[in-house]
Amino acid sequence: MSRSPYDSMTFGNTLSLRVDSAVSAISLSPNGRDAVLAGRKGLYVVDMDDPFSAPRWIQHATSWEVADVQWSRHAAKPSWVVSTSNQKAMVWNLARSSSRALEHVLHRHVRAITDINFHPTDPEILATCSVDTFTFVWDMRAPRKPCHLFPDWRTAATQVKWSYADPHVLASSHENYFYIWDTRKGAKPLHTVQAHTAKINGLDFSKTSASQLISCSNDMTVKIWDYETSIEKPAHVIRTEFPVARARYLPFGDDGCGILPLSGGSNAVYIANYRDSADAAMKPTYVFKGHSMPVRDFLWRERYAAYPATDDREFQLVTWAKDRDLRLWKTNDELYARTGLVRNNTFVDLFDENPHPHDPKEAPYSYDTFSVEPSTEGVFRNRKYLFVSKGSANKFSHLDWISGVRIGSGNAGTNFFDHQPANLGEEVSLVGHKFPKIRFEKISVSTGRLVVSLNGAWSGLDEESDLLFIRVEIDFPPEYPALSPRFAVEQSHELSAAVQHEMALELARVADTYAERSRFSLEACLRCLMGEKLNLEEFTDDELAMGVLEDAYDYAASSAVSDEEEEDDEEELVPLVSITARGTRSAPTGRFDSTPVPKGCGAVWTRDGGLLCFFVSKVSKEKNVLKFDSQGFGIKAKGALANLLTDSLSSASSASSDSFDEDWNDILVKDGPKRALMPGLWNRGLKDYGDFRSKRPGSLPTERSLGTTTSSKNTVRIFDYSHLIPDKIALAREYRILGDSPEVLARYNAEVARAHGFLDIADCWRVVAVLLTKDVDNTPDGLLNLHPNKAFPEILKHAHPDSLRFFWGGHPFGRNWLVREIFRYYERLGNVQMLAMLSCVLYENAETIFDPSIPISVPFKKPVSLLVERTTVVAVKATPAPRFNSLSGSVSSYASSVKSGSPERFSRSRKHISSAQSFVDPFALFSPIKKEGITSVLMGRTMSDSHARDGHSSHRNDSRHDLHIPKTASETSRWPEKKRSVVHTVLIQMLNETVLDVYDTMYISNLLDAKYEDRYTYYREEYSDLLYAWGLPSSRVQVLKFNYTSAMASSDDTHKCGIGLVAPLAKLQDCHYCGLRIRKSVFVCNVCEHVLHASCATEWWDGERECPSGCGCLCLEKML
Amino acid sequence: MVTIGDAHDDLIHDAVLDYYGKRLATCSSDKTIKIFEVDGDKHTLVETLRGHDGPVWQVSWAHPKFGIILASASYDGKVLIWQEQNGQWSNIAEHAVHQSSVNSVSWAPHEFGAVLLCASSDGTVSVVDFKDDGTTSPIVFKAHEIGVNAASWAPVDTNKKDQQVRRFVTGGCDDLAKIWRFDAQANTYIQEAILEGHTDWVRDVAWSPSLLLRSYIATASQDHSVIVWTQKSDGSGAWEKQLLQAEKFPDVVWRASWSLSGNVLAISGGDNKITLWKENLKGAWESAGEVEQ
Repeated sequence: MSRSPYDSMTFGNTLSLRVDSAVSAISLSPNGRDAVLAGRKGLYVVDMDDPFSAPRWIQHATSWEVADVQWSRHAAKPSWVVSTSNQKAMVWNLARSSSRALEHVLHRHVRAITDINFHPTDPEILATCSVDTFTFVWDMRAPRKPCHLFPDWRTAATQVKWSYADPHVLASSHENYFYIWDTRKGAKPLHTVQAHTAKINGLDFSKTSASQLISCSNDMTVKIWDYETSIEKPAHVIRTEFPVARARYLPFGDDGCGILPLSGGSNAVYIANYRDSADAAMKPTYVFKGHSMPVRDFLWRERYAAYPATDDREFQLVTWAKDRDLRLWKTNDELYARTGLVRNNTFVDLFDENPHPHDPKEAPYSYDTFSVEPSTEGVFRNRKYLFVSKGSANKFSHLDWISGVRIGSGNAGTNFFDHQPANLGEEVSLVGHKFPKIRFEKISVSTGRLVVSLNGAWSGLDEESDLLFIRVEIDFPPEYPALSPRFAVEQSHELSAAVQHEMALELARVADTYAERSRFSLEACLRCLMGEKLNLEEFTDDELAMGVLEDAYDYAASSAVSDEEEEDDEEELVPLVSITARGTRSAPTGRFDSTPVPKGCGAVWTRDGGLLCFFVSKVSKEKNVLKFDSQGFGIKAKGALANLLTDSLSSASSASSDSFDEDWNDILVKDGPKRALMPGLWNRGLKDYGDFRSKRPGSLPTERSLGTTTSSKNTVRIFDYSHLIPDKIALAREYRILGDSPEVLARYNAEVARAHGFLDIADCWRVVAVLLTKDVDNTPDGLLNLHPNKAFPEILKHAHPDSLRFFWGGHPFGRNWLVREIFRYYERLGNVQMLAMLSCVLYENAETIFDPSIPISVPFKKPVSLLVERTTVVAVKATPAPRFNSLSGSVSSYASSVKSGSPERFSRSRKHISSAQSFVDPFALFSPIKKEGITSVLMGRTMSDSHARDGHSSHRNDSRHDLHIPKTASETSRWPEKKRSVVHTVLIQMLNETVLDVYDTMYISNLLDAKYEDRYTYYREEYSDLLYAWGLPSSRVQVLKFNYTSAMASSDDTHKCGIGLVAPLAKLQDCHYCGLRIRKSVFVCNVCEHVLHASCATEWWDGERECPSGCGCLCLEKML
Repeated sequence: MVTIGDAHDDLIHDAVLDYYGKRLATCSSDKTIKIFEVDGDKHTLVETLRGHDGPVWQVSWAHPKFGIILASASYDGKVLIWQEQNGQWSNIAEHAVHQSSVNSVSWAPHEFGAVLLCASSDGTVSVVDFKDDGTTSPIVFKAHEIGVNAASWAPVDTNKKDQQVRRFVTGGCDDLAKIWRFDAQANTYIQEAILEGHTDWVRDVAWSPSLLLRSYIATASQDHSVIVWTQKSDGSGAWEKQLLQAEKFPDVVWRASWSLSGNVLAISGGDNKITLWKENLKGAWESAGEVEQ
């Protein structure tokens, strides 16, 4: 046990300590002897001077990564340690026994605490900062609430540091800027420094210069600021090749700083001089390299003598890395030299005239360790502690701990394959792992004392007893292995004095044999104790060594396995990283794992305006909480856990560990009083749970039974937010875009919108209805009198030469302004529905522009080519007249939707057709459609449309200069001269063009600007997608009709006639006449279902009556 | 309002409705994917898909014209393709080119065929074309240093049917979002633009499905901010950035989702809250509500 820092065997030496626990933060005691490691399982206090002794463990199971732990640096409070537990800061007094070490809980933050900093001069003051954006200053004399608060409101605070020079000044960093606060000025910062372009990870005030501080950031720079000089420009900038996790002033030398990479940077700690590196890439003066994973934190251990005549300070770097190695680094004079620390210079002591004579081996401070339980407590307390610690001894394997200690060699693990263990500690760990049945009751490597108990086969005189319980105390001299250890076998009733004596002799013989060769003898001695007979004479040196070597392999293998398990468990439980540790987690392969923090909450829009949300549930209110108080663990029912847990969750702490946490709490609730009797659960709880979970993914009833029935972990919910979406399903269901004049449609749609309460949309439709009024009474008093309420049939009556078609032309109410503005408005609103509807209703078919009998917006093409084609090719067997009659009858029965057709017109065309003698009824080929009412109506209307348009095509041709429609001679000649008279009327109007500007350029001035045709197409396309998703396919087809208008259709439009005739695919393969694959127009017999190309059909039916397939069906006759 | 509580034993990371809004797929840290039938306010669990070895981060439904197909991305580095046939779900394909967690998966607009986009923490993005003959040809390329957190396809401009180019945007750990375009000659994706503006990891990218006025991309980042990028339709192709709100969000922002015609942006983040945003007529973004469970 070293009493002075100068007796330390580790100071200045290299030491590696493996701590197999999820430790995330480290701090050193003010005297530099102890290190406190804080993790999810609690605090470990490690005596760095006696690394083989088991660390003191203060249990504090938490599911949250400990963001920071700080050991008070004040001589007045050498036993105080503060650690974070999510939003709480726990103040521990290590001078108390572990079970009641918790002195205060600082609980005012509402989100996870990210940093703690003790006041440099006042031992009672400390500052914390948190994700909740607040920075609090606490006074330990009144720890219930903070004495100062400094809010940022906007972003999480990442670091808080006190100034060394000014006791009122502190700094807190947020995102990429930091504040300088003054406790006397309240929440108004002294300075706000926009320091970096990325998140700041570390701040540190200079110990020498009052207003200087250092900041480091993810933007790969370290900046040194002097806020009194400039808050705009840093005094120095160091550029690095890695994001910087920490940058601190060196406690020695001039202008030096230690730089710790967040990731990359060869997992090293860099020492750089910022004056050298100013505004340039970092030139490290010294690099501490050796960890295999990123270093979490680095600290300086310091020692100095009392009243020295010279600056004899010595420093040692202590690092804790993700590879779970606590390392002490050898410091050499080169480092001091490079950083400008001039040691052993005589101080010019101005004040002390008479320097004390001193012993340089004496330190001016107490050098006690807190790594052992204090024993000054009362007897009662003491006993309680022993009870607890018995449990903890089981769960904490001292052997494992010892095997993680490496002195003097930086490379852990290589010693396993040496022929000899390097020291007693390693030997104990090797042997201990080899003989798991042997219990090491006490291991004290520093004093060389072991207490071992085992069952040995020393039947002795008593024949029936096979195994004896033996407890041996072994004392190793400091010179071991050169000197043999001493054994003291404990007496017991089973062990007779004779056997005991025999045992002692045998042990001494074995030990001495090994000691002669300076070999480690523990294993041989233990084998001997277990009753093995060792033939020492035959042992060679090699064989002596072999035993240990085998162990080494065994242990290396087993430790590797256990490491893997450990890793797996970590994966299982911690696939997530807390905010503070973001991006620093490593995959088992050692590669940087950049998997982001998982999303626990999200929202996805559905197609119908619903918002599909998933949340982390708030846990039920009545919840039992495992709570710390000064009496140790207590279990208290508490209602406010909900906030606590959800907060912790939203700060992105591990989700799975949260669910574990809940169940864990429940376990504790149930087993609270017996807690201490279940060390296995404590120790293996996390692991077992993890294994359990991994073996049985999915929902587990057993797992549930551990949890409370009220706990819920997540929720998926679909909210209806369709009121935010301008596209309305309700409207889409009722809107009409075809089957009437656009004006009427617009009015109808206005009513629909009004009925659903969308008044703005209704207004728009009404305006559009006015715009679309086409038919003007030509009588003098009614010329400009629009007839808004005129029903379509009435318009038909007006379809005589006196009736005029009204167009806006270049008028601002036409496309030049009003229409454009309407579109622009809905584009801004993103209302695809309105845009698409308008682009349909405002559509003007150039071919029907003058025919009041056809709604101008009907986009269909007249099937001219079809008619003509059929005329030449097809010969009709049946008489056409009755068919036409039946067809027109069916049309009129659908008068509501087909208003353009009229029997009168049909009969006219029929008359005409029959006079032409060569016309063939196109329906003859497609008779099956007659069975499907809708289709036949559509066809019928198309038919009548086409006739009607035909009737006016000559008219159009004459009055229109810019649009040329090719016509066949037969078509023109077909129409009687009577129609020509209409043409004359219009020509007269044309002469007065300049006066009646209402009619000018009406052809080029469609309401929809042809320039943006592609955009209208896009609207309709978008809207049709919406309609499809909404389950309105027929509306979709109607909208899409406008995208495939006559202008766009190819010359071969026969496929239009094919709509509605698609037979099942299997039947649609080959034509039964020519044997070729059928693609477009098709003839299907509805009786025998044989198919033919339309062209083949005309050819075949020309002379035949029976089906070409040979089935004997008389298709043509059956059809009708 | 459909509410499904405790569907999974662990955190849910994604939930998506299919094209018709009838099937809901959820995925979770418990390594499973669950399929629910949703009808009105009722829902029934139809299937639990197991096959991943790690938390499942994201799922994506293929367009119904390819069948009932779901893709899932997991921490185990794999993307699994699931199919329902006659009520039976089965795993029909596995896409395992990534070395690390696959954080995002999304099917391309159906016009491109069955094309899957995956973003992984190993810093690469892969685009898999499931061809009709059953073969696949993954294109894998490095997109972001450290890792790619999200990827989102650009919508198809149906007007330019002849020159449809596959484009998508990715967001990564280098605080950037990048836009990629398919180069048919080189048979790979080339970087078209870099969107620089975040100061921390970009967690989600969402390309607005609508092209009404211009293209929008929303990027959500761990720096507590959301940026909406707009591309001017003047042809210059430059992207302008605009913070969704000048103030920082109270916590990291995880996810951004556009409504079907790009009207409303839903933002969700670490504070378990979902906020909705709408662009007003002046082009500024306004809050349109908040969802709390």
